[in-house]
Amino acid sequence: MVEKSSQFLTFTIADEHFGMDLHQTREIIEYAGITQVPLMPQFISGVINLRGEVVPVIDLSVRLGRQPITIHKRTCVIVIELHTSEQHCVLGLLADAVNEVIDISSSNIEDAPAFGAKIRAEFIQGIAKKDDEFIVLLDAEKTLSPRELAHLVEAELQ
Amino acid sequence: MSLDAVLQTFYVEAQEHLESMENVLLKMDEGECDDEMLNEIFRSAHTIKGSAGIFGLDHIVNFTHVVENVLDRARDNEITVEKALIDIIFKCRDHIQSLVGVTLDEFNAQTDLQKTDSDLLEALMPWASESSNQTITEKDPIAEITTDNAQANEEASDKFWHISLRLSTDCLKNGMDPLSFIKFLSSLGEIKHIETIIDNFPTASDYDAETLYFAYEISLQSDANLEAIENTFMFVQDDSDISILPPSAKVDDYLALIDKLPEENQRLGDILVNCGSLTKHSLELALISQSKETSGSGEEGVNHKLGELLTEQHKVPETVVNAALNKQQQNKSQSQEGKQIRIDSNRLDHLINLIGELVINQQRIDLLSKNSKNPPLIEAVDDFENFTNQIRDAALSLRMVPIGGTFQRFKRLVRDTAQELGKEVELTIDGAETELDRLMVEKLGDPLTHIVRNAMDHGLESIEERRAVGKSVKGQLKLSAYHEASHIVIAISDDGNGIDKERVREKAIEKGIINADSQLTDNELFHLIFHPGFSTAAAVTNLSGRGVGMDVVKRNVEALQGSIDISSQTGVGSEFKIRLPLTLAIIDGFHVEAKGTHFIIPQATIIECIDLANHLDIKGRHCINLRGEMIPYLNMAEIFNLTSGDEHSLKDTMLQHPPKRELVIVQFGSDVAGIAVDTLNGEIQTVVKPLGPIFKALKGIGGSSLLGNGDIAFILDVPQLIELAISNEITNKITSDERIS
Amino acid sequence: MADIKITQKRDNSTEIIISGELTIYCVMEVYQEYFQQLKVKEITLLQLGSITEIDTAGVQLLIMLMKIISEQNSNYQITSLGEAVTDYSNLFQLNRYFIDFEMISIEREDQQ
Repeated sequence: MVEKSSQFLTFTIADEHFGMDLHQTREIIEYAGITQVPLMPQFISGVINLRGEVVPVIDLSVRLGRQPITIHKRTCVIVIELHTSEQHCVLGLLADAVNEVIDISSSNIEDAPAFGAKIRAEFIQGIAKKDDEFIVLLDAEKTLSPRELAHLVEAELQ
Repeated sequence: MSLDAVLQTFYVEAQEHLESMENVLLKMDEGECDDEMLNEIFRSAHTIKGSAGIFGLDHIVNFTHVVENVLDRARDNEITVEKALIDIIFKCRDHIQSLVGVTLDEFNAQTDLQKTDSDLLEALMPWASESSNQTITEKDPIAEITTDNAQANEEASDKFWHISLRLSTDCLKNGMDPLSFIKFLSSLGEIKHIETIIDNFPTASDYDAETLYFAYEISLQSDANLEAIENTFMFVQDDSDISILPPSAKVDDYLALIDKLPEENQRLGDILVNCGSLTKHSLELALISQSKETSGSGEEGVNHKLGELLTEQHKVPETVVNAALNKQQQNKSQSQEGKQIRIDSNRLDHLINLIGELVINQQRIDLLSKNSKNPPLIEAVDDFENFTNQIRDAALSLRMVPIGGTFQRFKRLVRDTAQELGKEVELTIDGAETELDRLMVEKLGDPLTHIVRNAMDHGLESIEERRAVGKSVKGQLKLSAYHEASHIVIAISDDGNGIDKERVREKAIEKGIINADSQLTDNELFHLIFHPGFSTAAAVTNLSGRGVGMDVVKRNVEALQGSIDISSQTGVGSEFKIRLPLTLAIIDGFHVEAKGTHFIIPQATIIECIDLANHLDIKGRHCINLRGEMIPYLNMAEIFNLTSGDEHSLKDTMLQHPPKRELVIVQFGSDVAGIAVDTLNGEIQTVVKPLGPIFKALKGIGGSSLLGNGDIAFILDVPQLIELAISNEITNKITSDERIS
Repeated sequence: MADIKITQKRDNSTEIIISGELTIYCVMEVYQEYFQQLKVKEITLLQLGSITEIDTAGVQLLIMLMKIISEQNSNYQITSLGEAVTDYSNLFQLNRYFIDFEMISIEREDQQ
């Protein structure tokens, strides 16, 4: 794609592997409860107190059109930092496990496949293959666009 | 220097709007297009044009006006948004960006930019066609203001301004060097002549090296408008004597100036001649006629009589813009401005954030100390709390600024707008010393501008109309600010014709905002003007009347956790009241709980807390009788759909049988309502943490806050909740009335 | 901070060399330390060429200096002006205080 080789943080949600540009991830924290925000759609799990900052947490699984994530002992929150042209935004993502940081060269990234439109194509930056497993590389800015999320919230509230 | 900072704000804002335009355009390019997007892009163009107008950046105004017209037509579905149009608008956006990057002079000097300008305007023609005539007539609205009398047809290059500067003697000490003003003036045009007057230079024994002794007479050739020139001196007006004579000034105006200045008349006359502002001939003529009038009297008499003569003949022209006259009105705090230290606002915000954290930590320690049951510790922590509060108050006061500075800026806007509209308007300012959070002051500029323009455009009648109804020709516009409980109220009132309820109604029906048979109270009717796309202006003017603005006003005010009220009386005038919290950063709150969810109710809105068990609902409605008064209330658990985890299945039964509840009675403005919760946890000081853009649509919750134990609480937006309670109650009442009948 | 050197010369002249930044930040000090009690001879030579930065307070100080010199019936000549002073003088059209004096001094030398 654009860059020759990029670093991705890979993580798992319900046996599916995902990757996200390392530059956009800030930290990974243990899941230690969450405060639900009233009237929110399912994909917003709630908010957490991240060292004095109130950060919204997204259930990526719901956002990608799947079942809500099941919280267990090893559930973690990946903190994402987005610098879109609209604003700077910090978000948390729920994941079952965080795997590793890998280098993927652009030649190893394929375009989002046309098969099984399980995930909206625009969310996918590409598909990488590692050890015979597919890793869906997510486009964080599209998947987590604050503007779009806000629209979805607005729709839910009406 | 400071004026740069003001312009800088414009650049930053313009940049933001351009960015937002680009984002919307990109989406449109992908095939998405809805009314909100068109609104957004239109608003951006409108705001850029408006602000550019304030700074006299005519090149931006003229171009953006046409773009705005096209966007307006797209918004009204008069033209369809097609690929070709999007392409052009993209280019226009880029061109506006280039325009923002250059001064008017630079624009006039760059032929390639001018070419792009005309090329794009031509390309826009097919879409702008209907309004294009109007565009041409409106061209250069700002330049016209400055030349509205005799010299309207004069070539731009003949516009000589005369500026007379007697700056505050402390101005050097305060870090303001005339050097910066002169440099800035040269950016507005060409300084034809500048006379540095050293007449006031003291003897060596009286000399203070840090006092300004120089005075200046300047002749400036510039197309800039009065406001732009005046803006140069925005920060030195206190104790300074600044006179600006426009190109249209007459000899009399100069005589008045000469008379006013401390230096000797003949010498000043020579200086003005030197400056080229006055010809030798006209000066001699004037002096001769003056000496005829005063023949026989001594030197002092001359000065005296000159003034009298001019006043007698009513010749002292209004065009003599005398900043000195404003001096008395400038409030105390403003004159202290020079003694202030400038601090990077980020540092200040950082400090206040840290203090916010300190307050939270203090509360945690307080909690722990009380649990410890150790009296000396509790006492020590109490003292600590006392100091923490003082630190908090002191830190917050750092952020407080008087609103006077913001009000002051409207003088120019009002003057220019009045001229543009051909109306006479007198602006009075009250409560300029009222302080409020700096952040709010910044965000208030836009909404106030819209309201003021609206009042002048739609509220105040034309001179003829006023005369016809026997009002004084001069319309009165008043800006006032005062404290009310823990709120600050900013009121904008005019003595115009008031809001025409029938017109508003017709318009709202026509625009499909309300049904033809809707029954609305006056208040509801007035609030219709805040509806996006609403406008009663018969003709599209350059100022308002596009239905943009008032909806932005409401949104901006609400974003500041404020509210806006309108009162209006036909023939008498209208008043817009903006009510804002004093500060946004830290609030005194009341901590309550409903179904395990923590909420904070801003203390200032609370009247009292009562036990709901002692009050029965009236006829099954969410409404109680409190000492003879009907109070509607909201059930937190119900409106926020709260369930305490495992009680999911009980949800329905709970709604029917609300358990014992505490009721917090809150007030906002004149409205009262109750908020039913499970437990009252007591007073708490809390740092407001915004919830972020994702939750923007969530009504009733204004932000979040961290409790001492790290838990997150939601801060209730009481005005929104009261509104909700009242409207729910009305629906309930109707349905229960129906049941009875 | 400006650097001031005052030399009383044998040929009945006083030379004042000002260099560095002559601005609001030091005018008070410079005035009190060097100029308030200044005694000059028949001719005062002002060397301003090494002034790197000057503001209005600095220019006022120079004008005051010229006044002090004149009051002692000394003739002053600006021997060098420098970019900083020239720029200021051009902007404010103060050439009659600065450049002109240099010209006069040159003319005077020509006449001699």
